[in-house]
Amino acid sequence: MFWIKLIKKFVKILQSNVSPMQIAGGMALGMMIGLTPFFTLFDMLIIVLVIALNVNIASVLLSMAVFGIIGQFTDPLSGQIGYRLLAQTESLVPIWTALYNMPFVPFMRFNNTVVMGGFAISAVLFMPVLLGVRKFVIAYRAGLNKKIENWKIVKAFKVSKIYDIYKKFRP
Amino acid sequence: MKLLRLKVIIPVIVIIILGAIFLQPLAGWIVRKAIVSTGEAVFGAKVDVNSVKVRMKNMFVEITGLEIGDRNDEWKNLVQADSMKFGMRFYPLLSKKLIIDDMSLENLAWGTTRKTSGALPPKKTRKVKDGKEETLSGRLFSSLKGKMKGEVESLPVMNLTGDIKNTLESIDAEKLVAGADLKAPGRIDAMGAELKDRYSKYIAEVGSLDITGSIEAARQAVNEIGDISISRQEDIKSAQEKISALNNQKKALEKTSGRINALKKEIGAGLADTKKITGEIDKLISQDYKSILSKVKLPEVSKKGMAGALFGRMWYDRVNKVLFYMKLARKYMPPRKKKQDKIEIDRERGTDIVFYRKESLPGLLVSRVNVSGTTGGEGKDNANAFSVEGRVFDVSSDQVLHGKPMRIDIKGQQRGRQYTIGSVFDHTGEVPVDSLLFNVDNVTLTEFNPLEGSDFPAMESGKLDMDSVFKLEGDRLDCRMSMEVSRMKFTDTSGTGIIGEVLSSIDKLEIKASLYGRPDNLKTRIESNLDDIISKKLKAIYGKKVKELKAKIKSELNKAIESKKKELIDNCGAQRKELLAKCSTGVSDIQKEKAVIDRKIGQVSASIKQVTEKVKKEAERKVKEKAKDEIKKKLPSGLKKLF
Repeated sequence: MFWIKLIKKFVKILQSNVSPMQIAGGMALGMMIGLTPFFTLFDMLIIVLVIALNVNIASVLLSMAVFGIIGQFTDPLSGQIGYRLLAQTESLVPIWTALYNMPFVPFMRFNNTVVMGGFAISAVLFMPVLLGVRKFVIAYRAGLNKKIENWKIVKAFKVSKIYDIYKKFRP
Repeated sequence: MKLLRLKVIIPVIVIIILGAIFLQPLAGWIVRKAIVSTGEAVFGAKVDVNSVKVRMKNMFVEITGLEIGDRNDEWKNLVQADSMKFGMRFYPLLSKKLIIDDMSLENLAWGTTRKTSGALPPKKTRKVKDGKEETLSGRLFSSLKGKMKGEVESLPVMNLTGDIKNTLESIDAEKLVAGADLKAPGRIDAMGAELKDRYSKYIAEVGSLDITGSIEAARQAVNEIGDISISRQEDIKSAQEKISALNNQKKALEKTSGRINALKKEIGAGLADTKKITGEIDKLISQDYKSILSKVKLPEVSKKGMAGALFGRMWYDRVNKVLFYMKLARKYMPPRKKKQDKIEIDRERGTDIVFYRKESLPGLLVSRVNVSGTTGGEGKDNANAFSVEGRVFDVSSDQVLHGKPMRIDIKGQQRGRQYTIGSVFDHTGEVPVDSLLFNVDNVTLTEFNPLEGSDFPAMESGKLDMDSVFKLEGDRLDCRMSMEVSRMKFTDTSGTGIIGEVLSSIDKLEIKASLYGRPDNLKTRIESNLDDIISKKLKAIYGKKVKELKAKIKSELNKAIESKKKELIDNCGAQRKELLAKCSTGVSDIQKEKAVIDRKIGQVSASIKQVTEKVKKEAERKVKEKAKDEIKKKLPSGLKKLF
């Protein structure tokens, strides 16, 4: 029900007047939190950014949830990428050593391979997600929404029992 | 579109500032959570804390009511402390480094009873990652477990005594003999048949001798000569003929007698006397008895393995416990080479890479821990309470950075008796060396039972002297223990069988144990003064029981064969007696008859001699008369008157 609520809210946001950049920014920042496995200082900084920046909170939450689940499956990949960056790239070791022995930085747990891999993936995907979501929102509002509503899967979902149960029990 | 939510920034900053101000009340909760989660991860059991007070001003922490559960016994605490106090350096905390110069642990106690279970909820076990080798501790533990199974559990002495008793009791001598393939009865029957044949043969031979006939013939000859009168020379010839006939009869009788004697010898040999038969039958019984015994599996008791069976489990448990702490030390103070600039630590998700910088502080450092405690207290036996005092130095997550090994130096006292724990975990060199010395000197056994875990009855009191050293150098284990327990009193030795019996009778129990080698080649040696005593005792009981069993088997065997044996012996005896009697009677009769013949021959010979003498004398007289007449004729008439 939580998911349906969230998707419904997201669709509502898509159909609202919230700016595409706010939505895209929220998605991109939510992705950064979702892809890192532990709640670290880094996540706290992202949350501060979310609060400080004018991004859509609902899209942050949705993105956190979605990428949190995706993160469970990408952990092995994140771990490998993190290991390569932390342990196998000798040229970066002095940087990591300096960071590890600094105040506050160790609380980011950047020295964990999955966290570092998550950082790296989210850093690489930040701009594509940001720009991609922005484009999607603009296209959705331009007419894509009607096409999506005509998709068989959407029609099937709307007549499904899950949707009926949701409609009965929604506040 | 505005980039920043200006309206929100200021409230957030205010919240953060207020949070920092009100951190102190939360700090206690944070520290408690950290202690509990870290403690549970390290010790694998519940960690309970009564209260946590944090003074942010000087970073001072006071924890009361600390209880760390024992992962091996959910209703006992591994250790508990009434109070734990320490101050942390502030600046290293910002770099996630916990540096404590002085810590105190007061009223330390161990093995105390818990009111609630100390077991953690089921957790997923961490899988060993592909490509990474099994840890040293894992190999050591599995090697120890294997040794336990192979060397100790295969011969539990308490069960051994029960096994001996059960095995011996399960042997039913009667059934054993009844079910055995005995050779003796068949052989006895065969002997009986043989004897019967021989008897028949000898009877026939005795019959063929015709002793009666021979004696009759001799008598007749004697009777015939009895009527003879010898008065003249003409009678002598017939008399001599009769004598000759008598001599012939005599010779015949002698021949018969000779044959009887020969037959007697044959009978004597062929029909053995009862002693010989009994001896033969006994030999057969003995062979059957040996055959039965060879098929009965009687338990073996050897001195070898006795000490291992008695104390092995206790020794391995002790080594296991010490290894567990050494494993913790190697895990949380991982050894590394000086040149190594980073180290990898596997976590539940991912791997933590720790980056070392020379002359920086390690992640955790407790320079000194002051420990004190007692087993006494309210409602406890204070007279016999142990008091503990000591120090732990240089507990560090990176000894290479810190430059010093971790040392433990704890002394205990009980009514003037002492014990010491000395330990060094040295991971500063190329090869990590972990050692633990534990010495106990004349300590009462009320609070401390070193034999817990062995197959021993519960001890009421006793005195203990123990020296033990556990050392793990690299991957090489070297553990030794020498223990002496004296003036032992047990609460209840009934039900402990021979162990209880022997323990009640000895003054001193001495145990020496060692375990050494690498994980793939661990060797163990356990010796005790009980080895000889118990094995002798077992052999005595076992020997006595086996003797009884053997006697029972023999008795059953004799019972099974007794009737046949008696029949054979009786028959043989009777037949032999009969035949020999017949032969003896025959010989006796022949001898009598021979005597008669001799007398007769003597008589007749005397008569012949008499007549011969008479005839001779007559002839001489006649010759003399004739000579006289001749002379008379030839003599002149004047001389004739002289004759």
